[in-house]
Amino acid sequence: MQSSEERREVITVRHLWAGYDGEQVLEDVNLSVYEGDFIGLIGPNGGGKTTLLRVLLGLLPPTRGRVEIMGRPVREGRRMVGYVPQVVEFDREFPISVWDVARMGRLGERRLLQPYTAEDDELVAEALREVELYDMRQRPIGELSGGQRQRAYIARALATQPKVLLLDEPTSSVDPQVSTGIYELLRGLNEKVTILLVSHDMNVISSYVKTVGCLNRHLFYHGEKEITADMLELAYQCPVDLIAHGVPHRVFAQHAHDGSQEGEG
Amino acid sequence: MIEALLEALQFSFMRHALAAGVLVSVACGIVGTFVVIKRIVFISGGIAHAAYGGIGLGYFFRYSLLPVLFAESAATADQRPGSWPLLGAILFSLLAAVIMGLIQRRTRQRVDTIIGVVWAIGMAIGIIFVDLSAGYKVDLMSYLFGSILAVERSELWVILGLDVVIAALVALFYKELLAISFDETFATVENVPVDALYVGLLCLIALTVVMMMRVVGLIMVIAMLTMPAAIAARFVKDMKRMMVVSIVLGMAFIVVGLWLSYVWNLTSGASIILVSGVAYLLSLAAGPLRQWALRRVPGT
Repeated sequence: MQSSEERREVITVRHLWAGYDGEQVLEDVNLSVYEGDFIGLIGPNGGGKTTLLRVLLGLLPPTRGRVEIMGRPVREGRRMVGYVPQVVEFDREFPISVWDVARMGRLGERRLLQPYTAEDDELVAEALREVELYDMRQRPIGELSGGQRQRAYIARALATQPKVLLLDEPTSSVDPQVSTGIYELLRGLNEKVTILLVSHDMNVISSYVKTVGCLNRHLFYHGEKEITADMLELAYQCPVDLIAHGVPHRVFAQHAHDGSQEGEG
Repeated sequence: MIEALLEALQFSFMRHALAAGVLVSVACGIVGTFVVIKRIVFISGGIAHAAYGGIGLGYFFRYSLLPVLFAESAATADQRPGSWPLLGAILFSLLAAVIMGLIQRRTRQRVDTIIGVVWAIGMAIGIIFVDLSAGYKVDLMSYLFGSILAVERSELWVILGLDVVIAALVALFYKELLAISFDETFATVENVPVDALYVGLLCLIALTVVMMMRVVGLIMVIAMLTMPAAIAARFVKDMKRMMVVSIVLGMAFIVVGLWLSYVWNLTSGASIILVSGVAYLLSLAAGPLRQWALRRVPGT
């Protein structure tokens, strides 16, 4: 493992195999996420994106392999992860305010029977300001638009004071304009926090993230900005489709990336 | 009407019934809120019906085992089942809650199947035990359809005690219960003991269900548990307020239902349920009606 900079390894995945009921969804996945990274993993539906996140969050024990967060086993290390779930259709009637959603980010720091503190409130307020939802904090979450709800979840993740943000399809249920806004926000946040996101939407992802990888059972990630034709073909097995969708030229940028990072191959 | 009400209050059974209704509404509103927002109405139904197994066990214990164990007590004049059926119901409903919670969490069984199985097995056990018990099976129906008019003073204290316990537990674990209701995955990642809290919540439901059995009977318990909370959910968007509104609505429905049952000499449990049901249907209609009314107002 070599890195040209002295950056700390936030997430370590070594020879990971994982799946359900004996069927492997992930095979021999290796990944190193370093402090300051902004990684986008793309892949087809069913390619194991969600499974990888579940393993990283300690929700699914791996079949084989080693997974660590900040050098600790996931069940401990996940305290340093800010998880942003996919905004799926949920119970719009759920009686909860934006503030109360964001404050859940402080749960990990407060034991049972221990009330939230003024410091918690301060951190929650800060997180909400960061995503520009502070003025809407008293609104019921069900009244928010898809993009606003996504930002509320990001605020909740930020309130955990994470070392790394894990996002599952951050723009799956919003229109392109809103999704641009979310990626702008993430790019800003990346100055302070490491980000790893998974998505099937490579068009937007590739213009904002620092490095990309492809995940389809195997992970093709070499710490590079460009998605190579090989990676795509390996991951999707149908490159034509992707070209038809118009991959932004930045993905195929001619200039080599600054190469600050070298994957372990 | 008013005279009828005042006249009714002359009877101590009526005063006890009103007090029981008001007290039960507190637990019902708090727990019902979770039942509705966490969408576990039918798990609650399963718990309620499984409680019947405990009632049967209570009868069996009272009429077949106790007389054998203590021959002399069988000779006493008191042939009432005492608190044995109620104790049995508490035991069985808690057991059903824990079993359903654990199976649901630890295995990949389908939830609705587990509910159906526990629901039916509980009832079957109750029926068989009642068959096996010797003696009188007088107020068996009261557990199915409620017997709020037969509540005794001592029971009011038990209900009050359970109210305090339920309110205190929910207050103490409020932030975690809110979190597991809203987003269990996130709560898990934050290392909240999600499974234990969930099973604990089911146990609170079990206790509430047994209390409410007295008021509306176990068959109609889920309706009473859900309707006030479901109406409240349509008008308030905060869980604490939803609990308060549910409690107030529950009290109103029970008082009105009880009064109607007195005036027209109807079964109290069913009257209460129908009052709640009418209110619920009206609340459903409220939204469309308001829109219709707004459309009727000439636009500016």
